[in-house]
Amino acid sequence: MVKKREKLEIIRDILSAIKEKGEIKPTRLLYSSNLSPQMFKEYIHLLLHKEFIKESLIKEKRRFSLTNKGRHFLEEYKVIENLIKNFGL
Amino acid sequence: MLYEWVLTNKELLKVTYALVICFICAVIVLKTDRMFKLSDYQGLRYFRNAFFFYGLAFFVRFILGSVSTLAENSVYFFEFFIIAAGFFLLYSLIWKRIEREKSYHSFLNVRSGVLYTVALLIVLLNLILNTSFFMYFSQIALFMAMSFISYQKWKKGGEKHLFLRYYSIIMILGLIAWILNMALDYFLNWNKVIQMGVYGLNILFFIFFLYVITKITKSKNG
Repeated sequence: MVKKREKLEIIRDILSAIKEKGEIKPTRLLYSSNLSPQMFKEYIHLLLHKEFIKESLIKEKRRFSLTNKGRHFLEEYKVIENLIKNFGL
Repeated sequence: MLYEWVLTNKELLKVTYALVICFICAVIVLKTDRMFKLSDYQGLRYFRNAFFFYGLAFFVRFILGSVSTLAENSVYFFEFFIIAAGFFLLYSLIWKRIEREKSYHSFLNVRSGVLYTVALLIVLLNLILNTSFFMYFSQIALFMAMSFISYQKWKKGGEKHLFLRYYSIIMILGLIAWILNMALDYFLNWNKVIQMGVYGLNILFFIFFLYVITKITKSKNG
C-alpha cells in the first residue's frame, strides 16, 4: 500500500515540479502533483497565499513559477523534515 | 575543596546555570521559530512553545528570583511555566492524534487554553496546600508519558532517525531528574551533592536538544 503523503511532502512535490520546469501550466502541474482537482486547488491557493509561488499570464495563458521564498522552502525542506522526524513531532 | 568552593559560590553558580539554560532555550526557540514560520507545521510550533516556557521558567526562578523582591513568589511563576513547558513538549508528540493541521495562534487557542488552565490549577493547588507535590507529580507523569511515546515512535519506524532513539533516553533522564527533585524536597533535605546531580541532568537535557537542532540545521550545508 502506498503511504499517504504528508502536507509538507505535497508542498515539496509541487514546488519541485515547478522548479524543474521553471514555469509550468496549471494542468501540467495538476498531473505531476498527483492530487485531485479539488485538493490541487486548495494547495495552489495555499502556496499563492504563502508567496511560495507566483502566477503570471504568458500569451493569455496561466503559468506558475517559484518565488524566492518558495526556493528557500525547498532548500530548508530537508532540515524541517529532519527536525520533525528526529523529534517525533 | 571543589565542594566547598561550590557551596561558597552557590548563588552565583545558580544564576550561571540558569543563564546557560536560558541561552540554550533562546537558541532553540529562534531556530525552530524560523523553521515553523517557513513550514507552518504545528508540531514545530508546540515544540518551540515548550522551550519558550522552559527558558521563561528558569529566568523567573533563578534570575528574577535572585535579584529582586520577587524571590518568594517566583516559585509559583516557575511552577506555572515549567508545567506549561512540559505540557507543550508532550503535546508536540501527540498533537497529530488530536487535531488536524491548520493555522491558528498557538499561544492563544482553545487547546493551549486547556493546558494553561490545568497548569494554573496545579499551581493553585500547590499554593493552597503549601506544597510542590502536584508540580512534581505532574512532571513525573508527563515525563513517563513522553518516554513511552518517544520509545514507541522510535520502534514504530524511527530507526533510521538516530536522534529519536536518544530522545526517549533523554526523556528517561528528565524523569529521573524530576524523581530526584521530589526526593530532595521530601526525603533528602535538599542534599547538595544530589542537587548538583539534578542540575547536571537538567543541563544535559537542554544540551541534547541544542546539539540535535544545531547538527540538523548545519547538516544542510554539510
